[in-house]
Amino acid sequence: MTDNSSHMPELAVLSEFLSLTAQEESSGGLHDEAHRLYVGLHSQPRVAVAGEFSSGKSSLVNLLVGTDLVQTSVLASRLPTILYEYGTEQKIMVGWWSDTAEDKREFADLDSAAELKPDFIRVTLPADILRMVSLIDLPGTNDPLRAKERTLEMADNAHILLWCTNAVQAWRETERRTWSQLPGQLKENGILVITHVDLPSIRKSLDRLMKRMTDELSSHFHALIPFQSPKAAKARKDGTVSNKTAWEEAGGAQLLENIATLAATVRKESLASARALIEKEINPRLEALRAEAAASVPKPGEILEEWRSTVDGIVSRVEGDKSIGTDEFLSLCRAAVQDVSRMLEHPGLEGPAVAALKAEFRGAAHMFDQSRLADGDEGPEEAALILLQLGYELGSFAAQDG
Amino acid sequence: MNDQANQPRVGQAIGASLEATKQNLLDVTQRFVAADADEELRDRVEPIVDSLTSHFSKVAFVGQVKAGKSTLVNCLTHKADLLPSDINPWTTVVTQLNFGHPSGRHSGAIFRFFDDAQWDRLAKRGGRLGELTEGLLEDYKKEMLNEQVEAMRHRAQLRLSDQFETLLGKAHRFEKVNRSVIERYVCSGDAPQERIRNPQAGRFNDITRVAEIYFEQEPFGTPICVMDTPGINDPLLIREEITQQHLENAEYFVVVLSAHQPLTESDVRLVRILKALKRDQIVVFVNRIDEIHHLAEDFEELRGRVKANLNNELEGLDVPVLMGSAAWANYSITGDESDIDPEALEEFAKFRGVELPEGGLENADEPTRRAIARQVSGLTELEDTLSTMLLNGAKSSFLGSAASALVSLSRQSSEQTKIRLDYLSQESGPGRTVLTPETKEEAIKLVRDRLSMRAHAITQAGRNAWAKLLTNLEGDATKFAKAQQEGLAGVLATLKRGQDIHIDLDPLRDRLRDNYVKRFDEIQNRIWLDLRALSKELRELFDPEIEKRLRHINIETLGVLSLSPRTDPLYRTVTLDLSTGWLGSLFESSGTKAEKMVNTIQVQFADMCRELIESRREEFETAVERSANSYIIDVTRILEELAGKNVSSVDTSEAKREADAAEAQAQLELTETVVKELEGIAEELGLETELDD
Ligand SMILES: Nc1nc2c(ncn2[C@@H]2O[C@H](COP(=O)(O)OP(=O)(O)OP(=O)(O)O)[C@@H](O)[C@H]2O)c(=O)[nH]1
Ligand SMILES: Nc1nc2c(ncn2[C@@H]2O[C@H](COP(=O)(O)OP(=O)(O)OP(=O)(O)O)[C@@H](O)[C@H]2O)c(=O)[nH]1
Ligand SMILES: [Mg+2]
Ligand SMILES: [Mg+2]
Repeated sequence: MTDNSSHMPELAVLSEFLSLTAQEESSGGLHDEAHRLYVGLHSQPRVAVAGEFSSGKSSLVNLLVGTDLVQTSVLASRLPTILYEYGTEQKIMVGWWSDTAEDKREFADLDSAAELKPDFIRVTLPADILRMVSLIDLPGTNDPLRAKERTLEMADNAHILLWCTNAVQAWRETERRTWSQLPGQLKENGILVITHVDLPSIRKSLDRLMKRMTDELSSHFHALIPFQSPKAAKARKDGTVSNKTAWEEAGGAQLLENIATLAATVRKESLASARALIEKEINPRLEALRAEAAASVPKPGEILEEWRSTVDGIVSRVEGDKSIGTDEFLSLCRAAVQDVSRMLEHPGLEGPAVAALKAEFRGAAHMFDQSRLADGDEGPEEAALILLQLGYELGSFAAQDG
Repeated sequence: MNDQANQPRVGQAIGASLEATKQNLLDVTQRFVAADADEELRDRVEPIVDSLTSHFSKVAFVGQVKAGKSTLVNCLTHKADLLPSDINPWTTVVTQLNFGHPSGRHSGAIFRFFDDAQWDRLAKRGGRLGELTEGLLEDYKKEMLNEQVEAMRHRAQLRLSDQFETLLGKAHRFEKVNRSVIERYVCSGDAPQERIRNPQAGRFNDITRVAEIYFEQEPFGTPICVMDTPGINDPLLIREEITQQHLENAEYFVVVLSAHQPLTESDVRLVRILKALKRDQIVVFVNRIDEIHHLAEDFEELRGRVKANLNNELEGLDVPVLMGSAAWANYSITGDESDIDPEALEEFAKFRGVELPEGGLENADEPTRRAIARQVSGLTELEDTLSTMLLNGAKSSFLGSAASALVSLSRQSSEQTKIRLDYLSQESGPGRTVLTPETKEEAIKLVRDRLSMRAHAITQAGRNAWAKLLTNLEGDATKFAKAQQEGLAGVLATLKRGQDIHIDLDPLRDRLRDNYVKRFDEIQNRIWLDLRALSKELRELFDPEIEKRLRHINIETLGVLSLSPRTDPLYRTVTLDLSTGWLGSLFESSGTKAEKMVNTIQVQFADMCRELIESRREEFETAVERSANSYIIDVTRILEELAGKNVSSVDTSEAKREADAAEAQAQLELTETVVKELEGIAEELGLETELDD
């Protein structure tokens, strides 16, 4: 993920508004809307690559991002959704749509990540195209062993659609039906990629196929692009184009252009919506929210009090129930750390002491998240020591203040 | 050119083995009839011979659009380029290619058009959606479909102008056909308002209901109809509808899949329908393997997955899965190389262990290249599999029934001759027949009365069972519909325009099917047992001496046993009728709407169930009646014999009697040979011919 906040004042406003309203359960609609726009502006637009199984989705994504992490085969793939995002180095992680916290575990390859049965596998790569958009390689539909509803749900998280259809049996009823069930906004930003046009049986009458596609579908898609994976793969080794003519003939250039156009449109639209929201809804409320926040800044003493009672709770829990397992103990510790972290995040708390404390807590949370603790009996011991240390730091912070 | 690739394999032509067995049976039957001049016997044999000579195997090619059905049919029939094929969805009409049609028609074609009623039905069926398993029709789809039907009418009118109305219900007949004639009727052609490549192609396709094209039996080994059908899963929903309506007309199916997407949900759904139709003579042909890069790596796994998924779907039925390429087959037949990637062919040939000449395919001469293409095209496997399927299918249907009926009749005939011989050789002279004309008439009456009483009882019991089943099924449908009502009202209350409603009707369909099939089997079994018991009961009406003579006569049960349940009406699309239309229904409460919808479900399923039951009930009754009639004929014949019908009158001389005896003896010998041979054939067919006791 690249950070765009530096050159986008709207992001800063949205971010402040979000933190000011974080605690308010009731702010509901506005907070969620602001959050959606914030995510839309903060990260790249997401391109969902969808279609029936074996339609060439992974072949296409592989050559756009310049890796062959995903195997392509005429057999229906058993991998979950793969989300590609920008990163300075290649990492493979797992995620669940319902989890807000990022799972930081890393995997050596897709198969071992898939063993955890995650909703999606997150891959970061230093590929150019990922600076512009994120890519989602979705599982294929019309597979008797996979329900399409899951795929449809996942498309909800995207802004741009690449629908792959195999030229050999292009645009059948099952495709049309699944496509028609996608969210309207996504369909508006759709590109139809007609794959396999390199095959001899297609090449000889491609014009007639394209004629039918254009008649039936040009009003439903931003562009219809005949595409040849094998040729494109040869022309674009490791993510950079080595043979421009071949890349153009394969449909690659046209594809990238159209993705760029749609990405720009999506950004422009998000920005316009953000501006409108800020102007109409957020700005009028911002002053009041700030004042409210200033009045409700938690006192260091209160934070310490909260910490102590939580830790006391854990202690009496452990003493009262000797059968409590290591895992449960660790997750209690993790919750305690997160609780106080959240209090420390209050926008009204400022200064180097707070910053140092926040860093301490974040570091601790990180330890718990990644299970960096020692194995066996030493784990809980280490955790207890961390809690002790944190309490100590909090105590001296409160003492300074008071 | 004398390359073998181009020639159908002599002696291994499709259906040759079936034809050989059939011919054998006919030959023996001819000798049988020649040996026994009895008129009534001939009357009994005649329909059996008819069933053999008029039999016509029907194979349908089905599958998704652009799987390559038409191309594959062209290859199998060795009529390259006969059926039009294209890159866009193309076949629109069920096209029957008849080879050696029993009517004797061996050339030309008939293209039959919809009549008003059929057209209307099609248009209405258009209103019922082709999505068999998804049930309810949503608003926007209804619109879409109406548009499609309208467009179809419009197109037909554009193409045919004032001919349109006058053609409906008629047919076009041709003494000779070729590709360009066929093209006018069976494929969609280019849209008439566009720049047109071939203005004739597709001219009549919108109004053509069925195409029948006739050929000599060559290259097939048996009279056969090969049917090409419009592809399923076409966004033009009517095409799938047309194919579905015709599925019942075939007994054997070649399900064509594309290797690009071996076995999709849509294919599985098709197989489910075939299963519901009790059509289990299926072979799967995974086509277009020439287009898959490096298929060798995935070949076994691909076939394995297709097999496993099908096996699962068909509850253990082992369907042959063949892998091939109509493009390679076509090349081997025509020598046209334009669609061929020689590298793919070479790679795959190596993988299959085909011996290549030195220097590879490139260095091979044309006949060799074509022979290699044929070897890996899967066409030979398809031919062999079809042959086996045809023979197996025949065994369990017409061929099997004919053989066992003939065994029984020939045994009766020999019994008859034995009775006659007995009389003729009696010391005390002729005239001492076991039955007098009066006692014979009494006996016949006795049998007839008892038989008709029992047959009536069987029919009545059947009717009761069917009626009970109908109530039962209707109850299931009602229960299901009511259970949906509440949930549906909730969904409807929050429904927005353009949104879909989903009621999964499959659980109901499955429950009805299971219930129906189970009871069907019970009813069938009951009737079968009753008929067997009746055979015994009727024989026991007689003295042991007569009973012994009747031991070869049984009430035929094959007619009853060969009936099978028909569940396809259940899989028809169910319409959601919000008769006031979308806008009107907006003003009704969602409760009322839900109730209406539930009623439609109930009514439509009740109709289906009635249809399931009524047609089969009638068939059972006809089968029982037919068996009873044959039984009476057979028994009468033996009783007549016992009453001395065929023995010369009292005053004939000793010499005459001896001559008669010699003649009867000769006939007996002939008949006994026939019996032996027929028993041999029956055994080969795996039939039971042992006597009860
Ligand atoms: N000739 C040709 N083959 C292609 C093209 N695109 C994909 N393929 C082949 O088609 C097969 C399926 O491609 P994939 O990229 O795995 O398809 P997918 O859509 O990701 O499939 P699933 O992940 O199983 O849904 C592979 O064998 C590819 O090599 C193309 O443009 N031309
Ligand atoms: N490469 C290759 N092309 C094939 C094969 N079988 C068919 N084709 C081509 O695929 C296209 C479609 O074939 P058709 O025979 O029209 O397919 P169909 O299943 O009858 O299609 P519909 O009637 O529209 O449902 C044609 O251009 C054929 O030449 C094959 O095995 N390999
Ligand atoms: Mg894939
Ligand atoms: Mg066709």
